[in-house]
Amino acid sequence: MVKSGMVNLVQAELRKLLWLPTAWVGLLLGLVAAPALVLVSAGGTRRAIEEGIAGDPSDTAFQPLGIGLLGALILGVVAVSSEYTSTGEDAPRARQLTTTLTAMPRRYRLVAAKAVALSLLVAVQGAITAVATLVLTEVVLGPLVPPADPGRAAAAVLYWVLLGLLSYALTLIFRNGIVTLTVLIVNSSVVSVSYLLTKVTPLAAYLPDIVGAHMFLNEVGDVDIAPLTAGLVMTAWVTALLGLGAWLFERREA
Amino acid sequence: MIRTAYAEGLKLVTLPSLRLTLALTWAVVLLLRLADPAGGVVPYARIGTLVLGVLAAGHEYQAGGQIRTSLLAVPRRPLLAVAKIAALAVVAAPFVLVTALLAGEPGATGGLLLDLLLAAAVGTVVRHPVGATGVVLTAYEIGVPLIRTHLPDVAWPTSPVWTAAAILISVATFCRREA
Repeated sequence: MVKSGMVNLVQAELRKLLWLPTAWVGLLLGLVAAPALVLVSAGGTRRAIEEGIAGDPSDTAFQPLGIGLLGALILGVVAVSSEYTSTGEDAPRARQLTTTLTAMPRRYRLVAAKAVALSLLVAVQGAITAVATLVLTEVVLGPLVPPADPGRAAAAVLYWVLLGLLSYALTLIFRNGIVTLTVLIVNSSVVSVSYLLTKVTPLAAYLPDIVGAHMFLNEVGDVDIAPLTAGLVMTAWVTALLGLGAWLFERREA
Repeated sequence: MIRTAYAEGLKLVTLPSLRLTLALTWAVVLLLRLADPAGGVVPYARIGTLVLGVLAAGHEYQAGGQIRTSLLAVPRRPLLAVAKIAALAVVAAPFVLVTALLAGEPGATGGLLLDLLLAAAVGTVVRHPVGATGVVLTAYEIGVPLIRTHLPDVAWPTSPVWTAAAILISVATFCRREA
């Protein structure tokens, strides 16, 4: 009984998520951005490899996956923010969350079900994108890059899932999509604050959003972190923040 | 016109979310000056400015639909649209100047103000603050740098042109669309 209850809950959350137009923006952006980047940057990358300024060539195939992350971020945000959006302009206090909590009053289980639904969705999206991006890189650049290691591809998908959960946890804590989006988009861009902090103290390389990249890229910034360590550190961050978010969600008035 | 713009300005200066964004931007700019990034602090100040623009334009479309009350008070849409932009430019200018001063580059004021107005135009078109924030930040921080690296030879229009175009589009949509 308990088991089927959880399955039902995850199904319901998946259905809600897939019904949101914004979630589809996230899904499509995640699917399209990385392969598109491979095509657009093919010329520049080839030149860089031939001139020997590209760094580790086995990273080349995986680097475009960093941009598709935006899709996972958006999914993590809308999974929460959609519940807090008012359902109609004439009834500003009526939100979907009220209905959700009426149907599922046990809040910890609700947070868990949402996390599972989000992880499943992002994992499927990440797997499809990773395969598409790696195959496309193989086709476009051919012998210039070494064949991709399946283990690293799996690590990249894990990074996507963890980042989706991170943005989910942050949105639970702030209850505001703008803060999460601003922090995470900025940190995945060229003006990343986390990256800037690594110039001040090497410890900043262990911040949740950049440590995960070490799982599937050999050269990230100036600090070297083993893939396993990176994965464990990021999982610890996400678990802690998700715990805090779930606790706040349980304690706060909806 | 003056009274409409004054009313819009009053709405802007009394909005708590704008004050909060501004305070956070100033705090981040001051903190990052300690880190002394290679490209200066202005790129980071720009992020706060963009969010400010989106919120300033988008707040009337949040829960409660304040925009309908505004349109009831000022039914002439072109007038309201122009008043909103004028009020935002006038109210935001001193704050953007302070931001630029804190960033140590007073010369960046004009550019930041143009970015803010562009973000406001996007916010008016998208009518959804979270969505508009995503669009503007992705375009500015990820899209534009990517395009610049991969197509360095194309002569793109300068930022006043982009802002003017965005404002024109936003005014046109605001006047034509059902609120």
